[in-house]
Amino acid sequence: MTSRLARHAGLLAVLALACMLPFVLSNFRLFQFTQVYIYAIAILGLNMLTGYNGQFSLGHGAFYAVGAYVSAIMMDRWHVPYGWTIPVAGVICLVVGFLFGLPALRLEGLYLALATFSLALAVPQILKYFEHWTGGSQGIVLSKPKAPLGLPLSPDQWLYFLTLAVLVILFWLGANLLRGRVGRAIVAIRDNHISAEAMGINSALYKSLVFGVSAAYTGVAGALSASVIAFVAPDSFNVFLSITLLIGSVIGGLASISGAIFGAFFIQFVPNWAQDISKAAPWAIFGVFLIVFMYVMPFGIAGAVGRIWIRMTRSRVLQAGRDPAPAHHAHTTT
Amino acid sequence: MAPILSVRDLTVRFGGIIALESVSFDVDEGQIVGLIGPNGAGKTTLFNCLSRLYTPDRGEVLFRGRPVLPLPPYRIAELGIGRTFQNLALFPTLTVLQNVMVGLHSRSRSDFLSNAMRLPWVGREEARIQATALELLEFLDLTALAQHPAAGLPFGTLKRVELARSLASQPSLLLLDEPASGLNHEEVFAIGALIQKVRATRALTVLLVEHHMGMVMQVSEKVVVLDFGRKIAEGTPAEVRRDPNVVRAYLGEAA
Ligand SMILES: Nc1ncnc2c1ncn2[C@@H]1O[C@H](COP(=O)(O)OP(=O)(O)O)[C@@H](O)[C@H]1O
Ligand SMILES: [Mg+2]
Repeated sequence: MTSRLARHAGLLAVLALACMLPFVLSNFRLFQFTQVYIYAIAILGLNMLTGYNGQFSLGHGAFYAVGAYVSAIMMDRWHVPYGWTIPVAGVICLVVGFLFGLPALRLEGLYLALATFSLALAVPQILKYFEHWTGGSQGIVLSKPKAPLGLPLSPDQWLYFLTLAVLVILFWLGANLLRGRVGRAIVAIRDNHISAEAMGINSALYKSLVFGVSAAYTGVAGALSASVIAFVAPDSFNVFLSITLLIGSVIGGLASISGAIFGAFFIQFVPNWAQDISKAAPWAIFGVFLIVFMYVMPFGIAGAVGRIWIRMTRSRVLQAGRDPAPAHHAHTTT
Repeated sequence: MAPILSVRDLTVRFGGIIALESVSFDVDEGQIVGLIGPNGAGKTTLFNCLSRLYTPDRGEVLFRGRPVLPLPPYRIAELGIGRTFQNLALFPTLTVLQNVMVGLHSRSRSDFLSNAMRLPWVGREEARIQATALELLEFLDLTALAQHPAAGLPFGTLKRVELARSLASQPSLLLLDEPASGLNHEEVFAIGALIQKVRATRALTVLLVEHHMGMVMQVSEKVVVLDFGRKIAEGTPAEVRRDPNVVRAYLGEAA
């Protein structure tokens, strides 16, 4: 399969490029890229829920916060090595997300959006309330982990590679999940939940599980951010974070795996550009960017890239005498 | 031989409307049974009870002697009851092939964890799902459309996709809700012939709701007639056609 080979080659090239960045970028730029990967993991989680499964969340910042605090408290209180706190944060968010997903089954569309939004509103205040554990408004100051095994890497370089590795693993797992039997069922529920049930899909269980997995991804992202920033405070996890993640998800491409990465670049860099363009009204500029992106790329950046990719590979694929690989599905791209 | 499906005293009310009132009938294994009646007679409501989308106010449904009503809707497919919908209920963003592959959900097992880890047996299961789905597409002459999203295909084609999807779960009882609606004259009889072919090659029992009398009468061994939620007649097509109640119910309709 020509197109599949081309895709694998492309992925490897991107990965090789990503591995070179720490040796050419400044510490600050490197930090920004690490943050992009963290956002990408969080957005992939959100995409699974909102894009693939059709459950709206305006509150994923809450799971990001829970992940960050689980990691920070474990490090700060119990001196657990940061590496262990990341999977623990994922598992705790999986459980919290699943439990939140159960009652959320009764809510559809905008009502679910509002319920998750209230989660995003509540979490920073709850964090402040349990001051003894969370350090209240002051937050928790952490120390940046050093590279293990005497690797000749600065802490920033090491965290970059760690985040990249977690991203690669989680994207591999996520792509597998979304591509197979479970992934089809997840999209089938979004498309028509009544006939999905008639096909034998336990949609209540699936929706709760997707909520859990989605929260786990976002929680792992939060846990990584705790180490990378070496600081957690309630106000960095306000409602604005939740909205930002949703913006990244939509702009990148809602039901799309690669879209999570494009969306992460957007929310990391475009606000900065807007700031560069106009110090006085950066959010107005950002808004213009948003509208232009949505207008030019109705299926997100991933949708646009996918279309170009198909155009580039189609002639070769046809020569090989095969169907032009999944002509882009209306909303579901990979 | 015991009937494959027994409907007993089934009653469904929506507020003041009585959609079904004490309806009882049996379907024998291997039969094609026509379920007819004017619009609003309660045919779709009956299907929705069988697939557990509605919970009847009274009555019982037995499938191979087992009560169906205590089960949740998602357990019906694995029992061996498949269905199509009167107003298409496909997954529009999935491709035709993927739609049929979802039809195999109840005949496959892999879960979240095994899918995410891409365990070797998951790959084998996926290959089996795809091969079965492709066979069905071939059978229903849909192979060329395998990679096309369901959205945007002509109505008649989508009806065939739904039929393929319902067959994917290897049902022993197939509920078809107006499979010929919206089709032209030739297509209607083609679908009739297809239903007979499917029954013959797949050892199926079919419960067929259809407005096209010519087709129903031609393919059914038995016909059950509903009117305003009541069963008014039951018998062979010839018997039913002569039945004065049926003639009265259809007065003014194309009988
Ligand atoms: N979900 C529902 N809520 C309220 N009334 C319904 C519902 N489903 C069906 N009905 C009513 O039940 C009666 C039977 O409808 P239906 O089973 O769709 O008839 P048919 O399929 O024979 O045309 C109609 O009067 C219809 O309006
Ligand atoms: Mg009907």
